[in-house]
Amino acid sequence: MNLALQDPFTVAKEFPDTLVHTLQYGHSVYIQFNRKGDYLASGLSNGAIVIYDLSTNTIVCVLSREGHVRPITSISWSHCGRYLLSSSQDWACILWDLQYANTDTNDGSNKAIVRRVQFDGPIWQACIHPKKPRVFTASLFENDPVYVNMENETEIRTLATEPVEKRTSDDENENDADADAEPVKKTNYKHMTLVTQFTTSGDYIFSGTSRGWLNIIDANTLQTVHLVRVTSANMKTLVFSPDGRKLAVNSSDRIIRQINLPDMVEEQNPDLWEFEVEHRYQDVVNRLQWNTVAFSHNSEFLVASTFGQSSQDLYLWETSMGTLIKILEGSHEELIDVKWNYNKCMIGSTGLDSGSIYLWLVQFPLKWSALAPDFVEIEENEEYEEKEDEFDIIDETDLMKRRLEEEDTQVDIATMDATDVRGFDTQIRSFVIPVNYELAVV
Amino acid sequence: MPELTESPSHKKTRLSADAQSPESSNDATSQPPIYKLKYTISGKNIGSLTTVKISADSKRLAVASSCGTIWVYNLTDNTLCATLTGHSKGVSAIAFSPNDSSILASGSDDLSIRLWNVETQKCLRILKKHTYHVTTLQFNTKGNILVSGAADETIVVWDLAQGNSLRTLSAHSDPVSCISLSPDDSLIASASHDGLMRLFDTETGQCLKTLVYNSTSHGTATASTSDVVNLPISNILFSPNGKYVLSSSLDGIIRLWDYMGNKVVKTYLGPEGAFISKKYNSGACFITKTSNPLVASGSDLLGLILWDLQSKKIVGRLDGDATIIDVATSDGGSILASCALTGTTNVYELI
Repeated sequence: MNLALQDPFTVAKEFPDTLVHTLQYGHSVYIQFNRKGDYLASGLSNGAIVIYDLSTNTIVCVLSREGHVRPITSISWSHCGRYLLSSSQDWACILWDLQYANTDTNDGSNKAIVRRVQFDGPIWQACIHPKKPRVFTASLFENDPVYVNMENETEIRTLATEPVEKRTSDDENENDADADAEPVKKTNYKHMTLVTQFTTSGDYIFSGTSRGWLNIIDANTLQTVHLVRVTSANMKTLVFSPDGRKLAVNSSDRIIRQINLPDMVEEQNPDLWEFEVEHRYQDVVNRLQWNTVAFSHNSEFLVASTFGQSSQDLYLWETSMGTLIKILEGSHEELIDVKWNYNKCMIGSTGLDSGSIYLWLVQFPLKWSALAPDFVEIEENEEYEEKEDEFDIIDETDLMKRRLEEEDTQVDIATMDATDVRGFDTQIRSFVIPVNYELAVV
Repeated sequence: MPELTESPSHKKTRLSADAQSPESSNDATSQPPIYKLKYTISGKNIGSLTTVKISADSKRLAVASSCGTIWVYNLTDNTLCATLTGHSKGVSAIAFSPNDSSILASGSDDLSIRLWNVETQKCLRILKKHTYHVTTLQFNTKGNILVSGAADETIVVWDLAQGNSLRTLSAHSDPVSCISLSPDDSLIASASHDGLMRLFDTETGQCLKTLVYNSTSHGTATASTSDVVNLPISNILFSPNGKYVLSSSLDGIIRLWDYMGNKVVKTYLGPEGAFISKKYNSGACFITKTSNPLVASGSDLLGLILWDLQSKKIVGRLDGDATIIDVATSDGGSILASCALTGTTNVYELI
């Protein structure tokens, strides 16, 4: 409701442009906003996870007791906002229930830990199912990716990195060095899944491999239904746009590929899917690598953090033409993770050296005219012209009567606007983390 | 809330009887009753009551007194479940945490705000920053922010996760009498005895809007002419959808404002055009559970008055001609509680 009273031109801005806040607690390596955009989870290099409330920019809870002991590699929020899935270099994934984030138990156990899943190596990243908070997929270091169902007992199923049959036929068209090799030999070279992501609907899992293959796995049957080679290098990040129609593939060949996704709900036959690369984003001059990418809410913009000590900026492109429109500056160090908070029109990023979280926002100008109802901000001086009735003396009882008579309009005090001024849903019901009123969290 | 200032001695325009809207002559007694008395909590004979609140889960009712004690009752059966003592002076404002009815905040004339656990009857925290009587308190919907207003003319936003103040808004030139948060927590509306109502952005603390009601057709909030009288505002409340604010001012009139359009859309007057409150900061609230939404308010000498929101007609009166200091509702008005200056609290339920 505050937006309706702000400067309309500033409210209409579609991307943030000013570094406003820097949050510092521990060394943050990974950040994630919840769906409503009112909380920010930050994974630290010591394995702890802290959650900030973005209305105050203060910490509401710390998840560390009985938790991870090595750096966090990924965090994902459940749709409802109550559960948080974290993965770490300590070989474990933990599902947290934030209802008990601030609950103390006497026996030293942490009630907030719903389930801990132990793997045989570090985890690249894990992704929670968009509809089922107890289902997730994870990509493992030097291992095949997994699909984990924790609805009852923890059930771990391995996903294929390369279905052999499919590979033979596809490889005939490839002029890659390995293309003419026999399928049997395929296992000889290291071909690892680096990233796995659920689509926004949760029906499919997209996984990206170290050889640039994109595998599409049906989330129900767990069979690879389609695969396509996007690049020849490592896939570092897969990011879906919020509407699920675009995919950004960040690969170590210094190019971010923006792929237009086929309609996978209407067109059920995976063989007919086409993955057309819409744009390639690269810095031709500096040959920068990209650390991470993020889409804006309507996927009209794409933001990426740049690799290397020489570069300390975020690059922001417009996605329909693929032009670079803004470089977000302000941090004095290399930025690693980057995430877009849609509802608050905010971009967050983590710094490599200090581990600070930088938040870019749209900053509203101060309006002096707000301080009195008859103040008006004007561009230049105006000649004062007295209005016809400006100093007329009106009988106050008449005035009162007239005012009362004008009040015949129906007023609606109950119906909320469904969307705010920017067009975002105001009715998102999201979990509220209980506050510990007794003790300061940190 | 007890009287904060003397009834203003400014030049004031008394409304003559014929200036009243014809509706107000409507006899309230001819209407079918809307509420029936559920029970009465009698006074404790120590100080007068200042405010009443019902928790968001409709489990508890709390009343505070000018002696500094807060009593918490089970709403359903009227049993006393906690007596909170600790404030050295009168308590003018209390608020339940919206997601935990065992947490209560209280603001007192001893300049402090206390957070209580009702179940253990323990004081959890003392928040100190105000330099004069704390007059008003409200939690945000997530329960992690508390906003307080005080007679030191400031509004303080507290972060309860850390237990410290986030920012101080000082934009009034007289005691802040009441604050209200919009349903999405993005705006703080404040009312002050300087006659201004201001809307602040909760996150940045910027003033986004100022509303003022002048006694004349022209004149400004800032003009120094004696013609312009800004009447002290005693109460302010956002409508359930946050599009309007309801203001009670010490000229004895309640107004509903369309704050986007800077205009009064409804004016509520007492029976026969009488003044509602010129002396006390009588609380007001919206009732949405009835077929037509209502406005309820306490008054100086007219008991609790219920108006039809649209027609501005009085549709009910409760508590006779008692001085009603505060009213509280739960669940959109299915329960209505009123506390009288004499010390009795009446709890009504919708028929």
